[in-house]
This record gives sequence, C-alpha cells and structure tokens, in this order.
Amino acid sequence: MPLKSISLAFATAFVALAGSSAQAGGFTAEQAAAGETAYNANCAQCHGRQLEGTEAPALVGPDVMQNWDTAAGLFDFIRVAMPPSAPGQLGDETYLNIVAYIMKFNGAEPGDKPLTNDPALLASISLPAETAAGASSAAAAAPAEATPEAAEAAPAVPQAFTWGKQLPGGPAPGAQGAAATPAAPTVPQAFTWGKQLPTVQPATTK
Amino acid sequence: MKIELLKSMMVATTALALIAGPAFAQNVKENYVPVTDEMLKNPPPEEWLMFRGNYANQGYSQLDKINKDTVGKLQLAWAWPMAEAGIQETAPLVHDGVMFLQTNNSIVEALDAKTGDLIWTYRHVLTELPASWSYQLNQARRQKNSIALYGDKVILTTADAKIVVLNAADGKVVWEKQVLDVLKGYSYTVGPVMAEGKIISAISGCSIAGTAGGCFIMAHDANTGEELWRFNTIDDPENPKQGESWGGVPPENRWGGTPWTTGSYDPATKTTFWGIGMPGPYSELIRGSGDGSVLYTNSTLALDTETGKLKWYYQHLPRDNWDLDSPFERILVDQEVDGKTQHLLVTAAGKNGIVFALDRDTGKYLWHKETVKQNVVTGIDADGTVHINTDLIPQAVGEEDLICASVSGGKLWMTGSYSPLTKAYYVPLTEACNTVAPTQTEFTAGNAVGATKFGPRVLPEGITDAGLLDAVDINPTQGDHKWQYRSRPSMTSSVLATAGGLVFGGDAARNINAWDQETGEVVWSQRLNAPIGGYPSTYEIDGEQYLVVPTGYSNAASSISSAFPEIPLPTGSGNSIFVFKLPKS
Repeated sequence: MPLKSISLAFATAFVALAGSSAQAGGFTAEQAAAGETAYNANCAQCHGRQLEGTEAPALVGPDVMQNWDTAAGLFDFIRVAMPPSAPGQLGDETYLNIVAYIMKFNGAEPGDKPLTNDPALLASISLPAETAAGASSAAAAAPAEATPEAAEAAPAVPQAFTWGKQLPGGPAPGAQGAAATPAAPTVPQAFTWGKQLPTVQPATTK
Repeated sequence: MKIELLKSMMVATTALALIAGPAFAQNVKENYVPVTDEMLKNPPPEEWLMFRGNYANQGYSQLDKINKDTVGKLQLAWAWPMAEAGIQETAPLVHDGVMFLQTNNSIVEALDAKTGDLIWTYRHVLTELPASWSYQLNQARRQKNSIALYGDKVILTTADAKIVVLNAADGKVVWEKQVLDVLKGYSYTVGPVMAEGKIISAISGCSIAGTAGGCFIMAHDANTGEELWRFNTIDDPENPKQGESWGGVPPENRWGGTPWTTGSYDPATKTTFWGIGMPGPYSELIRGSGDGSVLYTNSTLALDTETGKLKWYYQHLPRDNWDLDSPFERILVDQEVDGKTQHLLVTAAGKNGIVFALDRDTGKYLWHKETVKQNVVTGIDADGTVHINTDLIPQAVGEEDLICASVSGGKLWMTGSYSPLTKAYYVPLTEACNTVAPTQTEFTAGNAVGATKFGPRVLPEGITDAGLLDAVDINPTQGDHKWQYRSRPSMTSSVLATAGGLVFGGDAARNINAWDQETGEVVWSQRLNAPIGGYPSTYEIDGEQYLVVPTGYSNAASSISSAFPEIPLPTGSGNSIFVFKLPKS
C-alpha cells in the first residue's frame, strides 16, 4: 500500500511535469487560507513569512518537500514539536491548515476534499508530487517568464551516488529519471539516485 | 546665501564634533596590547583569550573570587543586545579590557568589558545568495562559535567562506581572503585556533550539494593569508583504507565530514585535534557506501600543524546512518600517574553522548563511558573498535527506526568543561530520540544532501527529564559518573568550570546556574530573558571578577520543548549578553 501510493504519487508528478493538468493537493482553499493566518501568527517569527527560514529551517523548496515526504511526515512532526513556545498545543485542525498552507506555498493546488487527521490519507499525499504538480502547472501557464528563471535558479550541483538508481522503496528508475531530467544535469546527486532500493512499510517503526 | 550659511554651520558643527568626539565615543582602543604566542600558550588568568580559554579547550578559568561562598552575591554589572538575531552560539573573548563579541551574519563588536560601552562594530557584508538556497542562508543566521585574537588583530571566519582580519584597536579591515567558493555552499561556522603564526580553521557547509568531494581543515599564514596546507576529511589519497571505507562511492558523490567545533592544540607536539561530523547523505542506503565505515566521518583527527599531515585518527562512530555527528570539543588533559605524565584527549565526541578517552600522542583508545540514553552503539572492544546496532540501519526508502540520541543530541555544540580541581569533565546533554527514515531526494543548489525524514524529538521511554549535566571523573584507565544533575528543561549553553569550585551553565528555562563541582548541588541560579546559550566565560578587571552569560534563540531549546511544555519558550529571540560581578566590599 505505501509503495503503491508513493509510486502513484510520483507518477502523478511525472505526468504533471509532462504538461498535463495538476491534480488537487488533498486540501481545500479554505484550509490553506486559514493555514496562512495560523502560520503567520505562530510560525513566521522563526520560519519567515516567505517560509524561507531565519532562525528555524526553511519550509520551501523541492528538497524540503522530498525530505518530509508525505503530508503525514510534516503533520506528525509539527503536531508534536511546534511551535516551540506552545508545542503541540494548536489543535489538530490548525496543524492541518498549516500543512495545507505549506503545501500551497510550495505549489500544490487546493481541491474539493479537505485534509483530515486520517493517518492513511495523510500518508498517501506525496509532498514532492503534489507540489511539483502545482509548480509545473503554474510554469505551463506562464512559460515565457518561468523558463529562464527556472534555468537560472538551478545551477549545477552534484547528486548522490545512488541518484537515478532504483532503491528499495524508491520510485522506479525510469520514473525517477523523468523527474530528475529538468535538474539532473545541474547538480550532483546521491550515489544511489535512480537505483531500485528495497522497500518496507514507510509508517512502521521498529 | 542661505546655502553658504548652512555650509559654514555644518563646518562649525563638524569641527565641534571632532573636538568633542573622544568624550562621547572613542571608536578606538588606545595602546591595545598585542596578543603574543606566549600569552596563548599560558593565558593570563584574568583574560579569556580564545574559544575555550586555553589551547587544551578545557573551558576552565583559574579565577576564584566568585566561588561557592560568594556566588550568591553576584549582581548585574551590565547587559547588551547582540547586533543580529539568529541562532545564538557566541563565545565572547576578553583581552586588555576589551570584550570581542561575535554575532550572527559575521558581525563583530568590541565593548569595554568593564562598562559595557561600545568601542567599534564590524558589520560584514555577506555575499548575496539566491533565495532558494534556504539551507545555506540559514547557516549564515547561525552563530559562529568563535573568533581569534592574535597580535594586534582579530581573526574572523565568515559565513561566506572568507577569512577577514581586523585591527583589534578600531575594527578596520587589514586584509580579507575568499578561502573557498561560497557559491558551492562553503561557509565557516567555526573560528580559528592560532598556532604560532598559523590560522588553523575548518570549513563548514560540506553537507550542501555543491561541496561534494571536499571538506577541509586548513592553515593560512596569519600575516599574508597564504594557504599553508589543507586536509580533506573525506578524501585522503595517502590512506587507501579511507577511500575503501566509502565502498564504491567516488569522492564526487561524498559529502559531510564537517569539522564544526574549533580544534584544540598541543604546542609541545605541534599537533591540532579536530572532531569530524557525519557523512552525507545520512543513510548508507542513499549514500551507496554499503557497510563501509565512511572515514574520516565521526572521527578524531590529529594533524601536524607544520605540515597538515595526519598523525592518527580514531573513529567514534563508524557507518553512521542517523546524522549523529561527532565533531564536538576535543579536550586535552594531562594527569600525573606514578610520576609519569599521561597525555589524554577526552571528548563527548558525538551526538550519542558517549565520553571517550584516548592517548593523544598515539590515538590509542583508553576507555569510554555512556551518558544519555543511546541505542546505536552496542559495544566497544578493548582495542577501540566500535560496534553498531545493525538492526537500526534502514534497508529501504521510507523505513523508520527510532534512534537515540536524536539528531539534535544527546550531545550538541554546547561544550563541556574539564576542571583540574576535581579531574572531572562536565558535559551538558539532552535526553532525546527521534525516528529516522531515508528519502530519495534530488539535490538542489544551496541545500543539504541529508535525504532523510526526521520525526519530532521525544524523550526516551521512561525518562521525564530532558536536561542532564553529567560530571564524569577522568583518569587514564577509566571514567565514571561523579554525579548527574537532571532537570525538566534541556541544557542550552556550554559550561564553564572555575577555580572557585563552580560549574556555570544554563537551560531552556532561562536559568543560568552555578553547580558545586564536587557535589552537583545548585548553589546559585538567576533567571534571564531567553534560553541561556553560547559559551559563558569569566574575566577580571581592576581586581573584580566578571561572569559573562550569553542568552538567545536556541535550537537546543526549540527542538525538544515539547518535553517540557509547562515551561513555554519566549517567541522573541532576545539575543543578549549579561555580565555579572560581585559587589564592591
């Protein structure tokens, strides 16, 4: 189930990158709007109004989305640890709204179905896929302006040794390769990038 | 006509200002006394000349006017807000009556250490970086832990990978040098140790994508800035075992190995000792290094300061999969045993908090002692071989394991102190665990290559206190707990041991405490404006002993505050220093 959902999520991203319309990101516009207010009141002091990170780390960028992996990854973290002045005390609805806003800020598009505190639902929402889909859709809408900027913003960096390789639990090499194509020549990747790696249930903890 | 009048008025005002100037603000320290090599080898007790007070990185002061009997009478002498917000990790230095205070974004201020008057400010203009380079931009907002004083100069290493040399008297730039390419991701987060004309420091940013293949400890000539040598912590052609330990991963896909705590220096053997951080990407699954130990990550390196050649290394945590850096303070300790002087290196090397003792002349492992709850090291052989818990190595993308200590420590940058009085090492620690799961991440410029999802920091099962100050008895054959002080809030500052029999340090609850070195009893406590941070230090002017306490925004507080929700952290950063002294009798 998790492997399937991740693969589907990546597939969604690749389709979107290829020019198809983006899918809804699993949250509503109302949630993202409420989340913006809650974020600016509770989070922006340390994470920045543009999510750029000041004292605390940035919450914007494809690598940030890839590291949180799913909406569950982000939600499970912030509902326990954030904000440091009142950790875990904002209530699940507010934390969900903030997740919606962070997703929207990163390019995900709102839809009809709200984000809820359903572990399976949250784990099925891929942050890199949803945010890449939205960003791609936005780029497609304004290609003349977006293209040169995108090229400029992605200077060459090395990737992991495994980049582009199939790793257990990771996306298929072809799919990952497709995702990597726009930025792959620019920066170094992990040694294992693009390799098939083994997979387990992402949500299980030993 | 009016303009002419205005002009002459301005001239008159300027003249007045020139005449009156010195009475209001000096902007210069007259007759500044240069710092000599001899002073650095034997620091005057009344000064705080370098990062941890001496070359041995002991964090110990010989001053004793503030002691168990008098500490209760401490009064605030003056306070000062730092010039910049951001994560606060400052180590104020004091020489010739001047306090040199470094703050975020590579700003240095010189203050009259007695009165708190500002003498000069150097505000570095950092290289502008694209907004999308968020990880690297965040590094600049992280306090550099030290600067150095040498001759009549202040040596500053900057967030944009430059060495900047300032006149100590007026803060004017004497020379500056771009050491490594900031546009690849390099930055300095540690200051130098000055070894007989050499600026010895180490670069950070080695977990940022563009820096693949090289992380360096380097020496530069203090007068000219000429590079004298560099040692690459992740690619050493002179040691085939080092390259083999990365499996098939070529240097251009290796990251990490950042030495991000200022090293110690033994002038007798001309050796500098540095701790090295974790490998990147964090998990071997993504890294591609198989079961290799990925040298020299999580090691102690002993380098010849004349040549930069490696004398020995010892790896405290091979095959790291959990971002459990081991770069922290390497403390040099001499102890007499049966008429023979033993040359030790003691260190709570890494985030898992295990204290090690090594023979610093040979690198031979002597003993270790666990402190906080940790589950990654299962045992250490008599020859020093460290065994890790292979059950906790992720075999698949997304596999979560609960790891103790956490990515925020356990041990973190907050530095312990060694007291020759008690022969004990006082280590500030945090009890914490987190889940760790590898992700397959495409790297982007200016951002990190960890490729890992971390869960929130949580207390280990059965533990209710996040904070631990562990006093570890040190001798050449074993280490043992002298005492352990536990508290709900996490420890957030480095600690300072003094000849007054005290250990000073502070916590997320904004308390600066003084503990009795012998018993662990808190004999003084003062609540301040923000988590206690940086490196408390002490100095003496005109016969009066001062205690300086930095406060401000602390990752060591914010990352684990859910463990003590009854003590809310302030939302303002509050970066400041508070200076205490005893009342005049």
